[in-house]
Formats: sequence, structure tokens, C-alpha cells
Amino acid sequence: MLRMLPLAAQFELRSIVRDRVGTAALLAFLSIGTIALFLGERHVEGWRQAVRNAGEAQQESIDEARSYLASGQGPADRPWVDLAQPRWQDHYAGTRIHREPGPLAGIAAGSVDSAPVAFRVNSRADPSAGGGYRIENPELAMGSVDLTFVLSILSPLLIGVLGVGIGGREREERIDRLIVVQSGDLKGWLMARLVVVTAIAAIGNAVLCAAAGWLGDAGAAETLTLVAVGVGYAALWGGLLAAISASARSVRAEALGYGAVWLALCIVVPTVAAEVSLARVQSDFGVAETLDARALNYEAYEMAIDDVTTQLYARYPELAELPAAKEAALAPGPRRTATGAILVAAMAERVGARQEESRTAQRFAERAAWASPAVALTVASERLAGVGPEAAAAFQAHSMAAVEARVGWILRSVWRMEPLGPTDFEALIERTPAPFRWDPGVGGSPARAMLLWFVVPWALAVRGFHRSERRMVRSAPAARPVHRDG
Amino acid sequence: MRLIVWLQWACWLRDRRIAAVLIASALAVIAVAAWATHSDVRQHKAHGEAAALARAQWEGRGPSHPHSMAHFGDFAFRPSGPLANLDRGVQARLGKVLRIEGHRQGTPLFADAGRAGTVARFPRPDAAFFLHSVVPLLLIFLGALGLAADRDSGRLRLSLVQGLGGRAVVMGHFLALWMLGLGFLMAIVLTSWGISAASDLAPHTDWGRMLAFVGVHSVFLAVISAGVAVASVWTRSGRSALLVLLALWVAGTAVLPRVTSSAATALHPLPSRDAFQAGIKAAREAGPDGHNPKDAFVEQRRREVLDEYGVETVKELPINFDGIAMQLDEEFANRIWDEHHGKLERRMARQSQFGSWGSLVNPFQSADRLSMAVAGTDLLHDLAFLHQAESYRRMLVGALNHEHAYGGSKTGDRAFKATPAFYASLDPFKFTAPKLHDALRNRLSELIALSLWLIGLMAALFRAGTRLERGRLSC
Repeated sequence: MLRMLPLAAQFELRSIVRDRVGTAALLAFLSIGTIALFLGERHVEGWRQAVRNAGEAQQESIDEARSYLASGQGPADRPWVDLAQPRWQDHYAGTRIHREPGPLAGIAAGSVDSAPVAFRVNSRADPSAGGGYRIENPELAMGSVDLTFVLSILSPLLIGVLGVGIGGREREERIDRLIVVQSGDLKGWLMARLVVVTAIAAIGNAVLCAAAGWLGDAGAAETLTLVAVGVGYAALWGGLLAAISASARSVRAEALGYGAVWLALCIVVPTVAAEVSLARVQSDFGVAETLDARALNYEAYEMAIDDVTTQLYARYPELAELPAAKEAALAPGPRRTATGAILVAAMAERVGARQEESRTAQRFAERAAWASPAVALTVASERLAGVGPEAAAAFQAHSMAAVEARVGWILRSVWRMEPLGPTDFEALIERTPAPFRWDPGVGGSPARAMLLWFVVPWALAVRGFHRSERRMVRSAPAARPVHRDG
Repeated sequence: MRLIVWLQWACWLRDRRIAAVLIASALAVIAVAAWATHSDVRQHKAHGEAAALARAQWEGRGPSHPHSMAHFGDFAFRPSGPLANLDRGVQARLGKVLRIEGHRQGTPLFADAGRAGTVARFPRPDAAFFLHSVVPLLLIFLGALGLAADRDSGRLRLSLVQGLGGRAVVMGHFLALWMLGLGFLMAIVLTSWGISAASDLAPHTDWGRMLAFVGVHSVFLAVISAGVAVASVWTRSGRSALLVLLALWVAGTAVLPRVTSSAATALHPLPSRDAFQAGIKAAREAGPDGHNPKDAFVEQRRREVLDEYGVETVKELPINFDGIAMQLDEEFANRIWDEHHGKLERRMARQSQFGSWGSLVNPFQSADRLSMAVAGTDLLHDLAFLHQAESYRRMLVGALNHEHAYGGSKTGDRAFKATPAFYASLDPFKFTAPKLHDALRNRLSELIALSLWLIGLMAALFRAGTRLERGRLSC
């Protein structure tokens, strides 16, 4: 096969140039890919702008608090604001956790991501109550062009347009025997043509992936990983085409077979997976986070103080050693803070339950990846991009941890029973959690599923071509003996 | 013509492979319609339970201060659309619960798509998905290869020689395809209605919308059938027709809707949530703060009320001024919300308008948007929910502030408690879907586009029939 590759490359390139459909398909693919890159960049720019706005809002709040601390007075129209108290320092610190876009965030701009890109940390903040950073027109959000869509749905179609007919046409027009006579290796010739077609699509994918890495200023490792995913995906679809081509008796059968496989793997299986996953949450109206949480909020303020302190000291044992714990009875302020802390603990449990729900949904997506390479590629892209449900859940968990840390700080400050000063405020700002950064990677199920989808079809194709060649040789009419008279 | 229709049907049913595909498709369509209706019924029940629990909590609070109840608040749960069992539209992307509270307008939360993992970015296979994607694909395969088979076998030439009109031939093929499509449509509608009836939801069926759903999809399937017949006649071979139609199918279902959506988003971008909320916050800071007695706006209103009652201090007022201050805050916040949300909605409307231009060139998009509108699962219905929930919030908070001000307490009286009977007298939130004609008026351009497609393709079909008769097209 290897020796036939240069000839097959020449043949296929000439065919693409001559065939208007092939040329148009290639140009359309690259054009839509370029649009996807442009739209991805816009998405990332919007994200960066939202982070910048959050940073400015944080700075405004800090400057305002510093001016109050310097003058020793709160705002003129709100005399009750006292920055010596932890709750007001918490309020004015305005600290936000920023979620920095990864360099490849644009490739999965169309994914569902329900987390904000900046989360304001304070003692009352609920990480699951904000929604995503984008306000979306739901009619447009249902389908958008991003690189993940181009690679997962359109690149298999490109391979189909360029490669359907290889094998089927030779058998239909009975030129397979001619090829055997001329080159002696039909299997090698057809495989070489399929490899060339796959390589053309893979180069298209690689160019788009490399451009995405370059536009996002991604590191070499990330860009190479994305390029490898794009090339690998084209290669596995090349394998599927080869497997169908090995057994197709005609172009029509090959086209129908490949079309059915594309329809099943890129449309039917992902939509069925979406149905199963969405049906699980469809009847959930967030009663735990809304009605139950509200009931708990009101019940908590009516709890006996002993119940409050028992729960509090079990969660924060260090408080039992601080001055407020030695008082005969908790003052109303610390009592309110303690109740708030218990409610935050309950909120952390709810966020934890949602995290588990999210992990379950993602585990299902990973299982669906074994049934559809399009799902595998989508999961892999989201992991590389740091966009999507997994990244959103990770950011919410990170935010929840920051809220719990802040509540711990407030409790310790209140229990020390000492007024806070500018130094405490600066220390609080210093403790602002570092920006959240998603660790990109495609390891795990999606990578293994793609590998399997690559190996099995190519193995089937090799076996299929081998058998088809043997069948052809067996069915060839035996050479008749030549009778010579005289 | 009737004979050609029967002949075509007989050919499909005689071919075991085609018959198997048709039966499998019919079963799949019925299964999907049944499952979608069943899950809609479950959602309907869960919605009812959540709303009942919210009401029980509201009425079970006992005697409370009205402003405390304004912060206790309520929740507006989004019901599924009137025909969501047939077309779920954009529902998966919409938050289902909206907090109703004094001083603040919330964002609907708990969208299904945000909790369903990566696969949520793919469409759900409901009845409309089948009608817009799978049934057209089936018609393309059957139609493109059907007329081609007649031509390849010489049956087409024979029919014409025997005196059958060219128009009758192409119309027969068109009708055979269309009736097949209508068969799938009826299977979906009847299955869906049957499951609803079995779940005691049939009395809630909106027959006007159901008829409109059938009408829109009948026209859409006629467009597809006519398009397939036209392509089969005008192209040289069945293979070319199939290639062209498949390319159009991919473009119409997968590429063009996404390209127009992305272009609309790029041309009319929406602000980020942070920027939108920061704008509202900044605007509100310039107005009254009902919780701040030192606020200048509150002070001015206080003087007006004191003058009105002819007294010197709020203590002398027979009413509770705090309730008036709260309502002052509310009314200003409402104006700000109307202004900012109005801008946002106008921008969304421009985006949707751009999408309508896409519908002109793509009948798949027209059908999709019309179907969502009829099913009550499109942007119009989303915005109607938001508007009605906001009206409810204003009514509720207004009534609470009124009770706070005029319910018998005096200024500064924090121990005042309104009776449970008063709270029970406030109606709960109830969403009423926009009228069908409003939904259709909003999609007039899609309606016109689909009609134009049908007229144009029928004209092309007649022309093709005439040319076939005159021998100007190969047969």
C-alpha cells in the first residue's frame, strides 16, 4: 500500500480539483471552520471582558471601603455601616473569584455552561444561584457553530463526500479486475486512496485546530493535543468509511451505508443520549434549593441556641477556644452569624448534591462516548476548552469552598470579640482566592473510546478488503488451455 | 393520478427492505411520541406538586409582618408549553424556577440543559425532531429513488406513451410522498393524544394549537414532498437527485440554522449577565432605597405624606410610612427593570428577526420556528412567562406594601402582623400562554416563507410535468 500512496495522492487531488462537488465541500468545510474560529474568539473576548468588569467592580468596592477606613466613618447615608465589624468588611471586600478562560475556550463556545465567570465571595453567596455569564436568546442558543460542531459533525461528512465511491465504484464498474491486472494489489490501491482521503480531511481538521491554538495563544502541548484529537477523529471516520467500502458492492450501497452510519453516530445516538440525560432532570424543579432551603432558613432562626452552638462547634471546633464561647450567652450578632454559618453548611451540602448529580450526568456522557465518537469528541473538546458542565461544576465547587472559608474567617473574627481595622481588611483582600483555572486534558473515557473507534473500523476494513480480494480471485474464470492443431 | 399513488405505495410495500424501513420508522415515531408525552405528563405533575408545596408554605406562615413576607417571597415555576409533548422547543435551555421577592427581579434557574452533562448540547428527539429531520430524510430516499426507478426501468416512458399526463405522473409521486408524511404526522398526533387521554390530561388539550400543529406540518411535509419530486424530475438520475437532496437536507437541518444563529449573535450581541446586572444596580443606586430612612428620595416622599395628612412627624401619621417608602423603592426599581429588560428584549427580537431571514431560504427553519410557536415553547412564550411572573411579583409586593402601610400599623411598628387570611387572599402565580393568533402573528414571516416555498415548488412541479409531457425532460 505504501508504494501506492504517492500515486493515490496524485489521483485523489486531481479528482478533487476536477470534481466540483468535492472542491465545494472542502471549501465549505474550511469556510465554516473559519467562521467557527472567529465566533469562538468573540466568545472568549466576551468572557475576558466580563472578568475585567468584575475586577473593576471589586476594585471600586475596595476603594470605597478603604476611604471609610481612612476617615474612620462609614457612608453618610448609612450610619450603621461599621467596618470594624467582620460582616461589613466581608461586604465591602467585594472579592471575586475569576474564572479565567483557557486558551482553547473558544472551541466549545456552543456548549452548555451554567456557571458564571466571576463569583462574588461573601457570607451569603450561593454558587448555584447565578446562572451562566451569558444572557442567551434561547432560540439561538439551541444551535451555534463552534469548532467542536465543525469537527464532530461536518468533518465526517467531508470524508463521505470525498471518499464515498472508493471500492464501490470499482466493483460496480468491474474495474477491480483491471486494477489487479495492472498493479497486482487491489487492496493496497483502495486502502491507499482511503488513506489519502482521510489525510485530506485530517489536514483540514489539523489546520483548523492549529489555528484555534494560535488564535487562543495556547501552549504547544495544548495545541498539539487538540490537533491530535482532530486528526484522530478524521482517522477514525476514515476507518469507518474504509470498513463500509470494503464490503460495498456499489456506490449507492456505500453511500447509503456511510450515510446511515453518520446519521446513527452523529445524530441519533447523541440525541438519544441527550433525551436520556435530560429526562432524568426534567421533573426536578429545584425544590431542594428553593422551597426546602427557604423553609430551613426560617426554621434555623427559631432554633434553640444550644442546638446552634452544638452544630457550630462540631463544624468549627477552634471557635470553642475563643472569647465569645466563654460568654454566658451569645449576643444577638454572633448568634445571627452562627445561624448563618449553619445555613451555609446546609447550602454546601446542597451544592455537593448538585455536584454529584453533575458527575452522574457526566459519567453518562462518558458512557455515551463509547457508543458515538461524536459524543467522545465533544467531551474531549470541552475538557480541553474548560467550558461545559464539568468545568462549570468545578468552578462552583471552588466557589463554595471559598464561601465556606469566608464564613470561617467571619466566625473567627466575631468570636475573637475584637474590632477589626485596616490591616485586617487588607489581609482579607490578600486572601482572595486565586483565579480559577481549568486543567485541560482529554484523558479517560473519551480518549479510549476514540482509540477503540479508530482501531476497530480500520481492522475490519483490512480484513474486509482482504476477504473481498480473495473472493474476487476465486470467482475469476479459470484460464482456458490453449489447443493447438497440427 | 390515484392509480400512480397506489402503485407507488404498492411498490414500497412489496419491497421488503423498504417496507421494513417504513414499519421501523413508524414504530420509532410512535415510541418517541409516546415517550415524549409520558415525560411531559411527569413534568406536568412535578410542576403541580412544586406549585402546591410553595402555596402551602405561603399560606402556612401564619401571622407575619408584610415586609417579612415580601422577603419570604414566592416562586414562579415554569409550566411546560401547551404542546410541549410534541415540540419541546427551547424549554431545556430555560430556567424553570423564578424567585419572587421584594426589591429584586431574579433570573430563572435550574434549566435542564445545565444539569444534564455534555450531551445536553445535542437536540432531544421529540416528535417535532422526527417530523423536521427524520421523516424528510425518509421522503428524500423514497422519492429520489422512486421516480428514478421508474425512469431507469422505462416505466415512466411507458406511462407517458399510454396517454398518462406528465403532470399526473409527477403529482402522483408528490401525493404518494405527502400522504406517507401525513401518515407519520397522524401517527404522532394520535399517539400523543392517546397517552394524554390515558394520563387524564386530554381535557387540557388545546385543540386550536393541535390543529395548527397539524396544519403547519402538513404544509412543511408538502414542501418537502414537492421538493423531492421536483429534484427527482429535473435531475438526470436518481443518484444525482439523492446527492442534491441529501446536501440540502444537511444544510437545512444542521448547518444553516447554526450559521444564522451564530450570525445573529455576532451582529446583535447581548450583554453579559454581569454587565446587565451592574447596569441595573448602578441605575437603582441613583433612586430611592426603601430600607434607608436617611435616603433623600424617601425624605422627600415623607414630607409629601406629612403634608397630605397635615401632621408634623411620622409618629402622628395614622398609617405606616415604611410601607409607602418600600413601595416608592419598588416603583423606581420597576421602571429601571422595564427600561433595561426592554432594551434586552428588543435586542433579542432583532436577533430573532435575523433568524427569520434565515427561514426565508430554509424551509426547515421556518417549520421549526412555526412548530415551536404553535407548541408554546419558543422565545415569545419564554418572555410571556417572564412578563407574567414580573407582573405577579409587582402585584404581590404591591399588595404587601399596601398592607404594610394601610393595614392598621403605624410607622416603626415592627411587631405588626397581618392575618393568615390576608395572605391566603392573595392569588398564587398562574401562567397563561399567549393566544395562538399572537404566537402565529409573531411568526408571520415564517408562515409566508413556508407558503411561498410551497407555491414555488408546486409551480416547478407543474412545469416539470408539462416539460415531461412535451418531451423536454428525459424520461
